[in-house]
Amino acid sequence: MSLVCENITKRFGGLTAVSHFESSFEAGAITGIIGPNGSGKSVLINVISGYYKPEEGKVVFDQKDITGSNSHTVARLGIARTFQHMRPLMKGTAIQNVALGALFGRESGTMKTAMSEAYQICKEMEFGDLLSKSSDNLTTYERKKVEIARAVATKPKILMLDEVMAGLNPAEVEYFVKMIKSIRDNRKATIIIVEHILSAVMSLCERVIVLSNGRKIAEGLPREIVRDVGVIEVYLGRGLASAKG
Amino acid sequence: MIDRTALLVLVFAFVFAVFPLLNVGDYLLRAVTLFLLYLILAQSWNILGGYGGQISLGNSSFFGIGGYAAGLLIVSRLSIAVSILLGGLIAAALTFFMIPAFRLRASYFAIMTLFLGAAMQALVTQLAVTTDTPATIYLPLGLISINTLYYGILTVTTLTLALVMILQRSKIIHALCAIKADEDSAESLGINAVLYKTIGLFLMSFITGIAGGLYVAFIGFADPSDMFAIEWGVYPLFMTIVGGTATYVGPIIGAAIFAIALQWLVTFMGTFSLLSLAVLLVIIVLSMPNGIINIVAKFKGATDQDTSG
Amino acid sequence: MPLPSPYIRVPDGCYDGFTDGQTLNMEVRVDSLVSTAIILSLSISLDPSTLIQVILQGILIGGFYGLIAIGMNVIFGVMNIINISQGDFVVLGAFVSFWFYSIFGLSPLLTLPLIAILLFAISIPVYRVLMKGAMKISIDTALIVAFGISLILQNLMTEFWSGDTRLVTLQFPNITVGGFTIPARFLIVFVLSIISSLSLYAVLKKTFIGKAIIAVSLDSRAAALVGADTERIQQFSFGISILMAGVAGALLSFLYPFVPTSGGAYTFIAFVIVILGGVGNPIGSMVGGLILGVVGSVSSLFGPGWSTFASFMLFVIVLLLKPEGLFRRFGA
Repeated sequence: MSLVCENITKRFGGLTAVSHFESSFEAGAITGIIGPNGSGKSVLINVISGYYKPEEGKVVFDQKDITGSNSHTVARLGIARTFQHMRPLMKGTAIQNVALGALFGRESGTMKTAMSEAYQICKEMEFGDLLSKSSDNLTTYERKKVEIARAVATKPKILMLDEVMAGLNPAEVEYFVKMIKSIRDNRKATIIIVEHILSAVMSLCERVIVLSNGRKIAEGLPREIVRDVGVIEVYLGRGLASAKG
Repeated sequence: MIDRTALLVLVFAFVFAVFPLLNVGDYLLRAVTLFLLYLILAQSWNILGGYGGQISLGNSSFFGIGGYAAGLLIVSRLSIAVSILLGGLIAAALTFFMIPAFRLRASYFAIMTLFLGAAMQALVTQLAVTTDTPATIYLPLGLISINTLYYGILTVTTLTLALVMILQRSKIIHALCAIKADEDSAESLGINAVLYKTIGLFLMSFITGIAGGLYVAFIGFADPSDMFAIEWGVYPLFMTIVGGTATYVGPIIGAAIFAIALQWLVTFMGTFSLLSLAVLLVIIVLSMPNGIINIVAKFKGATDQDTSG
Repeated sequence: MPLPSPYIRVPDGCYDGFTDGQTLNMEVRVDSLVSTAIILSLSISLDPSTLIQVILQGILIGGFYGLIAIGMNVIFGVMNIINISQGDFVVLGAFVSFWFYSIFGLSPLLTLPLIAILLFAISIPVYRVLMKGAMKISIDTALIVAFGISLILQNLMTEFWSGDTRLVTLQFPNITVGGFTIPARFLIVFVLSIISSLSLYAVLKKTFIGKAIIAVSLDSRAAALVGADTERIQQFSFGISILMAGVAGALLSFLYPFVPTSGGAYTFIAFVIVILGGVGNPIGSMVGGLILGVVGSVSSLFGPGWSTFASFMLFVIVLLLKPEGLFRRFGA
């Protein structure tokens, strides 16, 4: 599998949210995208997953130009994503929600196979009691688990997680780090993770991309990035929002 | 292991098939016929409105078009069954231009259906004035016996119940439920929201159009001010909300309650009946938004009715 | 929650409410000009002076439409629902004005402020008892309740005041401007509509409560975080919108004949304008009103039923090409 972003620029009226973004994502790698608020991280995810059409540039997935494709088309091709803000879950139990992913997704499932696949995934992700809990009764942590499991159930080649650790306590963050690693290992998925929590990024990502004001300002190994002067300035130097974690 | 829903449909069909044989008298027969008709309206609305969350306020337009078209066709010597079927198809065809609206949120759809309903009413009345023909179409007397009509309506009702049951086992209802919960999330799972909403809309408008044709056959004439009256758009809303949206049994209970309540309202409230219905609707949607089914479920300590069959 | 976008998608990234940082930024899109131009060019075949007369009339009525649209726009921006009963409140205001005239002989121009206050007062229990609870349950519930209110209003008015057509006939001279004769009431309604719309705009931009309203409509969670009493603001916004409906009603009472069920048409016109002009954009609503007024007026030349059809088609065209409306979103 291959994902290449070529010169992506996304504008909203007079504001350029993402500017000339270029990168290619290796199969099976876990790549982190970090940057201050408003740097264009979520916009980039939206462009790749088909919710926004970029003004310039191309998104090439498995040698196919998918720029401007519909979000459901992109999902069916194998790019899954979660959402930064919590979205309502379908009424029902947690496992029923996960089964939604298996029912649709990259390979159409049947009603029978969807439930058993969902059960598999929930077991792997250690759902336990969560399986049969009603979707209106979940904690933040549980909801995020369901959302991720549901995305995994679509059998994606690429899984994009948008600030999925927000609102978790340190123990939960650690657990998620392990969980995401095993998703990559067990499911052979490529992971792109947009995050604010640097500790998670450090322990999870093999490569980190830094955005600021819509531009890529740094890219490399995590330990190189934290030492990069430009990156530090962007986070701390000008009194902007300080880095968490 | 017998499926509960399938059993329900069979029992339902059996009970109501046997009903006329019990010599219940004309009045009761007519009342039950109306109940079956109302149930068709409620179930079809529930597909798109209940499960899918796309609330239609203007089903009166499909009801009216289907009924009016069927009336015209019947008068042109076409067979009743074919006329009603065609009426349904014409009603469904009407929805074609509404599909672009599916790119927008549900509130926009709701108001467009409302306007469609009102516009249809104005259009038909206007056309009658312009072409100088009396608007009301009278079907030839004695075209169909009340008994035959009853079984015809019962067949459609049973088919509708069966259809919803099949939909529940298919991806369609699940797609609609996902769309209702959050359309962006649904899309991220590979669900083509516009496609499924269109399917739901087609089914709802087609079935509602057929109901219109059945109604015309039942009362023997098609009068635009009656057929396109906004009430026919309010009734399914009322029934499904009272019974419980996005549930299988909800519309059945809602239709039963409605059939009784409407009789009562018309008898005691006369011209106030639509007003009373609107007041009741508001009260019910505020006090028990999930309908009777879910209140019952809460008493039993179960969680909300799930959507899988 | 970010300002409601006509697209279902409210993608995370928070750029939906974005403006340049300038207080108002209008871009009349090329395609909207094109569609209007097409309709106008279709009328080139007509006698130019008739055309201008009709366009003038369209502009004047457009001001009135814009007034109704602004009311609906405020509710949509703050409460995220389309008030299906907006037109019915306008008709209510029209009836109140009519009765003041019939019973006490008071001209609508005099009673207008009173009607505005009256409708504001009525909106308070309507919000407290019905809308507030509905919003808490879900958006869909609020929609249904608004629909219910519309039905209730229409039926109550029919019950109490019968379905007879009403009109306040005020004797005004016809005004002749540069060779074109315009019934004075159109001009008066236009001027008062513009004044009222601009007043609301000023309130939104200049006063504290106005800015609070904008804040809540842009992002109600953030507004609550900085201390805005979102409940009160929603109540007030609803009140302001119904007040504007009352003003429009007072004007309607002598502008066009009306019946209890006239509200539906005005609701839909307002809705189309809100979409055309951009949700949350008051100036957009005013200009959108003008456009719709002209389109409706010109197409009525082709026949009585055509204006509604033309408005509807314009709406569908814009929906297909540019669902977020013609104008930028409004921001503080």
